Amino acid sequence: MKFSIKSLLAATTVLVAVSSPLYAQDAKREYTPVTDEMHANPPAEDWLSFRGAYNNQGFSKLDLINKDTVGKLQLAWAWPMAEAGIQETAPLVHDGVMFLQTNNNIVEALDAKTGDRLWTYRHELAQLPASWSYQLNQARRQKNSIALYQDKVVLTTADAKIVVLNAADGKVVWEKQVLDYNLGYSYTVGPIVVDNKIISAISGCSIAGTAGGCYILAHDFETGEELWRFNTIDDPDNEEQQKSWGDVPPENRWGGTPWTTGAYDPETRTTVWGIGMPGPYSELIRGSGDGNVLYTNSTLALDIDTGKLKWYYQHLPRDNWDLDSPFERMIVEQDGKKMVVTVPGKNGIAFGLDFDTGKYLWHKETVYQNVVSKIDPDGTVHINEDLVPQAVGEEHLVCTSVSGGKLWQAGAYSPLTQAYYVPLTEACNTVAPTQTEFTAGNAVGATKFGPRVLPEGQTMAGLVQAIQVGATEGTTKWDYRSRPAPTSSVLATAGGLVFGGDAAREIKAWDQETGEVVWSQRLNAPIGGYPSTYAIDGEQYLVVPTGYSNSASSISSAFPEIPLPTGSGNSIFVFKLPKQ
Amino acid sequence: MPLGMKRLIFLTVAGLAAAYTGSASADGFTAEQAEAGKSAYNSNCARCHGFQLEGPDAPGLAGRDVMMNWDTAGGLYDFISVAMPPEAPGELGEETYVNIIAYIMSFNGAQPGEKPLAVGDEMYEVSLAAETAAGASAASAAAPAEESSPATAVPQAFTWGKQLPGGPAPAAPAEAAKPSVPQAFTWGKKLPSANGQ
Repeated sequence: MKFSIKSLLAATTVLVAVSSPLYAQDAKREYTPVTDEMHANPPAEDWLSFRGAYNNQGFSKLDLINKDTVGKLQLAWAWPMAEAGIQETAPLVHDGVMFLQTNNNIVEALDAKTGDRLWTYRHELAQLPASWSYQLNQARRQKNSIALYQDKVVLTTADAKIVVLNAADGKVVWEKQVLDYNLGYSYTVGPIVVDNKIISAISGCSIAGTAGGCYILAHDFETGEELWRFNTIDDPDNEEQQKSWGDVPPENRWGGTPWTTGAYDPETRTTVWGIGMPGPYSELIRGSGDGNVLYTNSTLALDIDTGKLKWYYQHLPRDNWDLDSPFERMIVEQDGKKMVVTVPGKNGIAFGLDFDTGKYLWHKETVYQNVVSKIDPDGTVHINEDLVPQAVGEEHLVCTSVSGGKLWQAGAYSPLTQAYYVPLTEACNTVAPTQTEFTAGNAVGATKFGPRVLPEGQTMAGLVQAIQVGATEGTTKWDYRSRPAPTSSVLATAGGLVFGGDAAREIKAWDQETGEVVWSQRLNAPIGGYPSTYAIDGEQYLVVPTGYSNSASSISSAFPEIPLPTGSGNSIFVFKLPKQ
Repeated sequence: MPLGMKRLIFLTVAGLAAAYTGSASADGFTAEQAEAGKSAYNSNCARCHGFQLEGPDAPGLAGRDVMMNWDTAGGLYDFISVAMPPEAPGELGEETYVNIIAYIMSFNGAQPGEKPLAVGDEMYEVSLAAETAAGASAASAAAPAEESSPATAVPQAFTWGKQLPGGPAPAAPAEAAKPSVPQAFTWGKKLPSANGQ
């Protein structure tokens, strides 16, 4: 099952891939096919998926870089990304090859030791009218849109296609138009591949033309045949779901976008995904009254064989403020029992759920928020009804803001400390509904937002919180507060460290136990994407993406003494320890 | 996925514009402000928002829905004078922010007048939707690929075309020349208004 990359480069094809001869120092590169078993229990030297493994924990077993050695990190190599735009990439590494996906669905394979480019795939994106500005923007904020499986790279694109590439040379094996980009559908996050099924989730469901359907889908890995799809805003099997939208028929429902890649448990063949907000944002415009608008802002557990819903739990019912709850769901074991642990939503509230049933176990607030007033012992979430607009133009100061609180930047869980390390931002904004006519390619929020401001009395926008995860409660292990906001996901390692970065261009390493900063390095642009780590020839590497960041720009008025760069700067920086 | 249209309420562009033109004054800003604003926009904003206000590295600033979402010149000022540009938030000075708003309105089709736009309560009386109504629809129609696009007609909110508190009076149902995109369930309904309108 091994192949030689070099031997595959001679083919002449009309495919879009741009390949170039492989000038790596080693004459022949062996690439082991990536299996389900590897995704479930990854080799320490690899970083196989956006959070490292099916469980989405964001943890690496590597420990050469640790509290004692981290101060000696040196730059090994750096690389400019192939495209500008908002930088949210997740570099993956397998068998010494780094796969780097950037905006507009460009994938590059790099020699992870030397930084030499092996191949580039440039997706030919559909051209859209300039007035479809919201939709066009989606192609410029791609999150982590690749998966490695067998000897292939699976890419989901901004024009709603699945594209399967050869890992060896970046050439297209097959591609499939999954949904119609002319309606607004767009992939912004990558799939997981489990048991030969590509499980993907579409974005763009807040764009006008997509009314009535937002989907998690399964396709056959070999053929691209669709196996099932689950509609997050119209479930004919659940009367409660239908009632939760009041009088609003499916064709006037939007949102429910699952815009973070889900986790998977091989033992129960269950995948869990987080779901975003409803559209329009306010119930006044939506027409849904006091309904909970399921399954928005929920965790969904789906059977990967049938696509049927096993359970759901709604973290924020009756959203009126664009406070999505799609973010990373992690599968964690506590006392021999599996849990879903997550800070699912922009309001920053952490949850522990029973993995088998979805039953609520605990919650814990992090940053200041005023939208959830109470959560009952049975997990029923009560919203602050004082903040629900009753009239067009009625304005409320809502915390957190539409940019978080929590945003796409993923937290990481360390089995060493049993703690969940979460990057967060303290922010509020005013929210007022507008009565807006929707236009093609644009969003249906129908809301006027004020600028992001700090909560009263707060001067520090940034918070990295370590949450001690228990079976019955989550508690604060430590807080690290800073003026600038965190702008990258974080990485936890067996070296006892947590890596993450901020709008001030600092990549930091914290001691998992204490929260003490044990290493910091200033780079060229806000730290972004998903820092990850890998090993080659007995040396551990740390890769740090940097670049233009919505998370930095949306709250930069809270730390004006730290000016952001005006260039995009999208790059990766790769560090390692000096040779002994 | 079939696009269910049974609940959609179609309004002609002209009919819709009529719902807003009541407060249009064509004196929201002066030509000089828009001209100065163009220069300030191009050097401070266009890098992300585009020289044609199209984005794509930041949200587009052209189009009817954008104007309706920001509601008034004051609504836009409140945001950009605090948060923009990200590398120097709030630091361009009052006059420059006002000029940039004049340019954004002008680009969206609003006509200049004698009275300058100025920071203050009156700014919240300048309706972006009303001032730009004719121009915004013209601007989006000008996008070359749009005429032939299958998705020009999109669903609207369930409330679209309905009178909501605080919302404009619904336009008379049009003979429906050109279907619009799907609208909110509440579109066109009378909704309560925070301003008691």
